[in-house]
Amino acid sequence: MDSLLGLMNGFKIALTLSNLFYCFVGVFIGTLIGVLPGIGPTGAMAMLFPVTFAMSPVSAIIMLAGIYYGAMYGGSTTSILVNIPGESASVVTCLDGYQMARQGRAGPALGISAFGSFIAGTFGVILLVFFVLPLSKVALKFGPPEYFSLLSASLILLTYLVRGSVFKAIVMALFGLILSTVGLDMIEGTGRLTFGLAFLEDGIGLVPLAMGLFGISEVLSNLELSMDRTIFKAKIKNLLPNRQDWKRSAGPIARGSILGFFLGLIPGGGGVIASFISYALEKKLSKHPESFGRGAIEGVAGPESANNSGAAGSFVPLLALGIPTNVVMALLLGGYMIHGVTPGPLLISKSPDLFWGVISSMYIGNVMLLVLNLPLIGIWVKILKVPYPILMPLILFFCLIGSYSLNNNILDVIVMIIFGIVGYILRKFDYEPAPFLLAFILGPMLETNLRQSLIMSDGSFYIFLKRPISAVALIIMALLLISTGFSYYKKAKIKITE
Amino acid sequence: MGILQYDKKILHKQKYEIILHIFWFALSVLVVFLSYKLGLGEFRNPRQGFVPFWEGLFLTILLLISILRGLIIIYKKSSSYEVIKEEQNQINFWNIFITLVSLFAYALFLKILGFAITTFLFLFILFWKMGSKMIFALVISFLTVLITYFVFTYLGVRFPGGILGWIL
Repeated sequence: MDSLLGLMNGFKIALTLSNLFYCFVGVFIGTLIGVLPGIGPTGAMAMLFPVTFAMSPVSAIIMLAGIYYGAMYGGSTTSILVNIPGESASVVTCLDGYQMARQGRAGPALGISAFGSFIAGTFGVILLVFFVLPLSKVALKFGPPEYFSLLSASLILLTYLVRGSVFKAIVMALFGLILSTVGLDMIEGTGRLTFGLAFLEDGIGLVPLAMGLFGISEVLSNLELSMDRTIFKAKIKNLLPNRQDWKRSAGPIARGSILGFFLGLIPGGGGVIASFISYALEKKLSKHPESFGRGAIEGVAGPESANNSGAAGSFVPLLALGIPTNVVMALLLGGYMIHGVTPGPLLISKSPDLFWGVISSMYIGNVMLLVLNLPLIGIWVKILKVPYPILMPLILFFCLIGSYSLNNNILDVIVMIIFGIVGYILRKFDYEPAPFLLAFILGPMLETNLRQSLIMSDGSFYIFLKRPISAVALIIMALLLISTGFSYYKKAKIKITE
Repeated sequence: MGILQYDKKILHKQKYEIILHIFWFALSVLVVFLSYKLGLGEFRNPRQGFVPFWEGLFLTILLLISILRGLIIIYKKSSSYEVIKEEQNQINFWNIFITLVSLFAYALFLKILGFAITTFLFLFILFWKMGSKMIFALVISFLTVLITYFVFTYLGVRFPGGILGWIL
């Protein structure tokens, strides 16, 4: 009953003219950056942070969240029409989506992707309401030891699930943690690792760092490559899938929606892993697995549903516990904090308007996305044709004014450029910037909870094992670390003896 | 059995990665040293250097292992394998160089020349150097400056006027 009342109140907030506008702007930009290769949702959110400063916290979060789930929709368009994923959660859609387009079935592929995304996105938001409330109540009993262990386990799990080498991900996470300690110590109030620079007293800014790592470095990496794109030229027709298409897609959409949501709850999960597992599952369940990779509509419907449901699922740990499970959620956490709001178990009681307003806006955003992605598909195809040499200077320019307008300070711009170069070098050596950013954001929370726990226990580490939730999280973390160490040792041994 | 071969590109990458790791190793040692100087406190009352010290120490150990492993691999490969050269992918370093110079120049001249002139020059150079026609680059740069100036000013962002400060 409480949920229903809260949701009704949320709709009242989300349906105000200004919030509808910001929701539209968010999903529109999300779709746009999903369609455009060269910048992902993280970079776009970082670029738009300064714009949100003048908004109310509800409007700001509505817009930032819209960018995230909008990008999940938009990413499929490029996968289907160009065979280039607009963002990483749509990689797997290329396999069958592009083949469908080549067989003259781009319309149904885009259609089922949009409908699947809509159904799964809406389903994910409904489950979100049911999961956040009980989890928040449980989380009220958490103390610093539980938070420290859960945050550590999230970070380790994310590094474990990262695409490349786990060793590299751990190194990145450690650098992120160290960098987060630069500036004033939160407990003692004295500066540390600032090298006497007044600029570093406040720490390194999240926005310039994120824009550099995800905006500038991505542009620099893309400049290395030729960006010739073969866009599907035939006229796109029959966007509404036929009865046969629906029959084949119903199961994958349902399975993808459920699977995606639960994978979204796991740290490091979210859209990317959900889409891959959904594809593998559909292929395994199919009576004609040989048709996968040759234009099977199930290979589009399942993953596209899973990544949208996963996007909704990843909001649960953030809203209920204040723990982000992926880098986009970490940035959204930054967005909450910039507006003076701390997500977590007290969010519902302290800021019910913000909590319910954002959730309700997701329902509305999903409807907007359906309209944006079906009747307006022609516009996105036209945008796809904009050559990269025109997009690139504009992306760089928005990063520049985005970082400058934070504090009207050139030093923020320089920090952003430096992290752009750092990010570019990291990409050259296959280091993922995601664990770096996540650790940078979680670092202060981790440190405070660790120090508070140790003060509470009079210096005994047993406090982390005495509490069941903390102990379970630490055991998971230890197992992951041991297995990583073991596989690293085995690989090193093989390489050396070869 | 044929001659064992090893791709030169991979070997080069491994060498550069070791250099990168040595640099990081030095940084992490510095962090450990500075944190120690800040004061570690005790477990019952950890002080400000406590967390960065342990993070830095863990990183130092990881990097040391990685450097040693890398050196052993490179030594073994380059002494017992025939290193072959594979066709290199053409990387457009010129574009990256121009972009980086433009970015730093933008940061450097924004206050002096002002938003309008710096942005116009930045966009024009990049559009033009990335292959757009000069007229197109001029027009699109001018329009972008105009639109963004009014939109961002409306949003409350104050840009430096620079030498055009008397009219902007």
